[in-house]
Amino acid sequence: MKSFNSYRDGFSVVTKHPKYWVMFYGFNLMFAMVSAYPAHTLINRYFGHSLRAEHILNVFDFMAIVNFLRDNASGLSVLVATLFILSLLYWVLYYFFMGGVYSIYIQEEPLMNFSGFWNLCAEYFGRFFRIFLLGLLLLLVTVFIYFLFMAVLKSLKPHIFNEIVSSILRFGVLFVVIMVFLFFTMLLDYTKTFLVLDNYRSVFRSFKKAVYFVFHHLGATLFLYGLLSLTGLFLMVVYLVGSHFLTGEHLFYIGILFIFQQVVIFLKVGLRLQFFASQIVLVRRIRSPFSYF
Amino acid sequence: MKTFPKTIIPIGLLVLLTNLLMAQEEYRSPSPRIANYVMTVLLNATKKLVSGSEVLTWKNTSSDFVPDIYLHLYMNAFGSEKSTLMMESGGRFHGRKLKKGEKGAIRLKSLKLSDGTNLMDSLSFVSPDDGNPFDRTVARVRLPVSIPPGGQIKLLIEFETKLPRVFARAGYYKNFFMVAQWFPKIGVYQHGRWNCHQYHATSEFFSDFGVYDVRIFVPKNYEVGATGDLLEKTTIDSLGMFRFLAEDVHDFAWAASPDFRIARDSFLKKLPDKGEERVQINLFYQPFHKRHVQRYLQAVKNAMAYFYKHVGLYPYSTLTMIDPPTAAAGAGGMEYPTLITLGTHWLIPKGIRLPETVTVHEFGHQYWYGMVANNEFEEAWLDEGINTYYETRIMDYYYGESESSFDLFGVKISDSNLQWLEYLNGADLDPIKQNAWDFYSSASYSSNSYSKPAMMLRTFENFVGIVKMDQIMQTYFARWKFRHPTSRDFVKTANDVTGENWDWYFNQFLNRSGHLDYAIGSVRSFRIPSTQDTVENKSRKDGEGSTGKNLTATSTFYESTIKIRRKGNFHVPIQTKIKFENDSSIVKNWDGISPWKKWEFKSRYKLAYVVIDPFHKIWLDENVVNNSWKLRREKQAVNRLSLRVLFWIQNILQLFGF
Repeated sequence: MKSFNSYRDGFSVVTKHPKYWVMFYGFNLMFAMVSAYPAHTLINRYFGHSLRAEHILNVFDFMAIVNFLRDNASGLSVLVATLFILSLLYWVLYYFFMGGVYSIYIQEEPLMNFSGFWNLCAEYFGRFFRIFLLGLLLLLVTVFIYFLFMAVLKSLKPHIFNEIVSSILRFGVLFVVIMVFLFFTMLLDYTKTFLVLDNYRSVFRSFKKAVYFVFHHLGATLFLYGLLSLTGLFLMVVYLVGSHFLTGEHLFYIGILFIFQQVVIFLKVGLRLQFFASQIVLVRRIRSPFSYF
Repeated sequence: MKTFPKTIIPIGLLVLLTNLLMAQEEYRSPSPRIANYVMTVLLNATKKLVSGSEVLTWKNTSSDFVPDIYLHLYMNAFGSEKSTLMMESGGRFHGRKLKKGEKGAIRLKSLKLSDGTNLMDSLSFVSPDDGNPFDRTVARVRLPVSIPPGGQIKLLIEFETKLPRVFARAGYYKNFFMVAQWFPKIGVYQHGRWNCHQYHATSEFFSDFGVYDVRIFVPKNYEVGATGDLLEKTTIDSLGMFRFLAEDVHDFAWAASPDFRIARDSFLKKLPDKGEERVQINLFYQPFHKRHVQRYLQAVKNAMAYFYKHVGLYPYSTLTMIDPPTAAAGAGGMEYPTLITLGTHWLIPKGIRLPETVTVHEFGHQYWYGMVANNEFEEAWLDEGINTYYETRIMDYYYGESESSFDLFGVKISDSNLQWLEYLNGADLDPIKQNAWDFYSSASYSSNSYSKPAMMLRTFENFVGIVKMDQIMQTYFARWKFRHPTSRDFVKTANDVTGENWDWYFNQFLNRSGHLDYAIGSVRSFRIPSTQDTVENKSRKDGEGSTGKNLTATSTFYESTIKIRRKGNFHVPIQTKIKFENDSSIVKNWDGISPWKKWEFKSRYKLAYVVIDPFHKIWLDENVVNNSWKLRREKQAVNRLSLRVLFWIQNILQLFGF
């Protein structure tokens, strides 16, 4: 129940501060457009006058896709490299903004202007950046766990009875590694919460506290994380179903599709913020159970 | 006692003689039966060893006195890191290297003539292809007396074959044994010399037809699937004995394992004399591939039915299918006479038609390799290419033209599409026709022996029509079954059946490397002053572009110019469809030879679009996107595509928010 209420109240917290939601969405759109514009140019130049452009929208046009990838290999590799660099930059900036957002969500009163928000971002950036580095380290640990498991499997392979067991174990390892990765993400979220809530100077101390908290309230934290993750899955299903019906080629349909896509992204951005807010609410509920009644 | 009139006796003798001749005709074997083998072998499952004896009878059907014989000792390719196969492959097949203790080899323990003359001392290893002194896959045996034309030789051979861990086609994996290219096998005497190539990384095989009578002893809990018909199966002490007889085949392979499960089915074939006969299908599958049994069986019956209808009769009474464990995938996807090896993984869903594709392809080899037995070393396309062409036809026919290979999550890919992709990967590297080991890379071998010929034949089929194509292939099959055709024989058959000379077409692809790509160069359509005018079509180069109509108009007219380019060095005749804004259209033909073609004409309506090869006849065309040009830019479609890209980039960025 605690988790469910935190989920609901977390959403209220996010909606109480809509400008930060819009800001994160705008930030996402801006970065995506920087990458997508050259892609648009490439697509326009290659397919602009070809009948295959229309075809590719209606069916999976394997031959046209192959031609596009082969003929634009160098352009695409530049695009992918650009996307990678932009993603890293986006990641760092996201951590910069997160300091401000956590502070605002933890404070009871909403800030009236952005200047305070920037100050909070700057104040916490050093520590949040260390959390970002810790996140990279945990990512490496996750990758290491994956390869370690796979190496163990490989050494066991001659003794494994057949390909069914072998496949199940491989999928099992993949599943475990994804779960570990998500668990680390959750730990990092709680690290941020404790860092701001208790104003720790040491990232390591807040991380320790987050670990202690999560393991002491494993059911509640996992349930909340599960609820939020399911919401994310639901959004993707909604998108896949919705986009299936938006197939018209008239400008009107394209406009509707764009709006629909952006609504989905907007909700996903909000959902990520809800992760933060709900976890903050959960910590508060567990610490002072009556404060929310 | 009743007496016969005097005339009855000579008539009776005549009838008897005729019957005798007819009977002889009736029982004449379909193949020349040049190389015949009687073998008795024992599998030592612990030592991964096959040992036994072989009686090889070879008939000299040439007009030469043959002073020596050549033997393939294929397994020696796995005995040394310096063998030609290992050097060419970098010692790696299917992503793995042979470890110490996993190597293979074949050792001749004795080699004698039937009169007891020992030939071991006159045996020497030769490397006719590359002169590699470390390659021991071909042995030459000098004979004390030359074999005269029409004569025959009988060799008594004792040998021992150590199987490698499954690496390339044959070997063992745990208690699974794929025993192929495993016995001393005589080369082909052709055109006054022995055609006996070394074992190469990319090449397959070539040998003469004959009869194989083989007794195989295995541990008694083992099942054995092999080339030919199972004549006898008994248990002797701790061993199981299987005797197989295979007639009119040119190789013998077998597989053994205690884990095999067997599924049986049959295919009913109608014989030319109106009788019926069933082909017994024996599927030896892994227990964990049980859910794929029906997929395998249905695929092979589909292929049998298709070949029966479009090519000719499968003359053998059995087909054995071996499903290897996935860890021994290197043994899968191979063809041997009346035996094919398959490939799957228990996780593969129905939408991924790998088991079906492998089955259809390998069964096709019963025709293109098994019966029409070209030299796979020198002209691999004749079996692999023709067979891949049939694979695309069969897969697309039975499993859907757009989704015959892949149909998952809305993504549909046909077998033809995949072959086209593979064709692109090596189109310009090599010509189709050359020795298998002379290709630029194994990828080029694959592209130029499998996919490019398949695309060449699909394009050819679109030129001559499916009915004529079937006639060509039926004629080719009828002329060359149980014989060794060459590329020239194939092209000649195509020319004979169509009554046209297609040398210009086949020679391009068989003998040269390069590209085939036709593209729209430019398209313009301008409004011209409105006057009482006569519309006249003009065409540059050859005048084919004229519509032949003279229109008298009183309203607006458009002057249009279309330029089409041949971007590759290959050429084929192409059609171009020109569509106008009022929905009318015309089709122009061009022989496709010159580097470009220009059409100029006036019309009442503005051009809407131009499309080369509107019915997608030319599968060899490497780029399909540049085949069309729409005068109004496809803004909406491009915008929709761009929106998709934008959305997924936004999602990727969102992932970085953790």
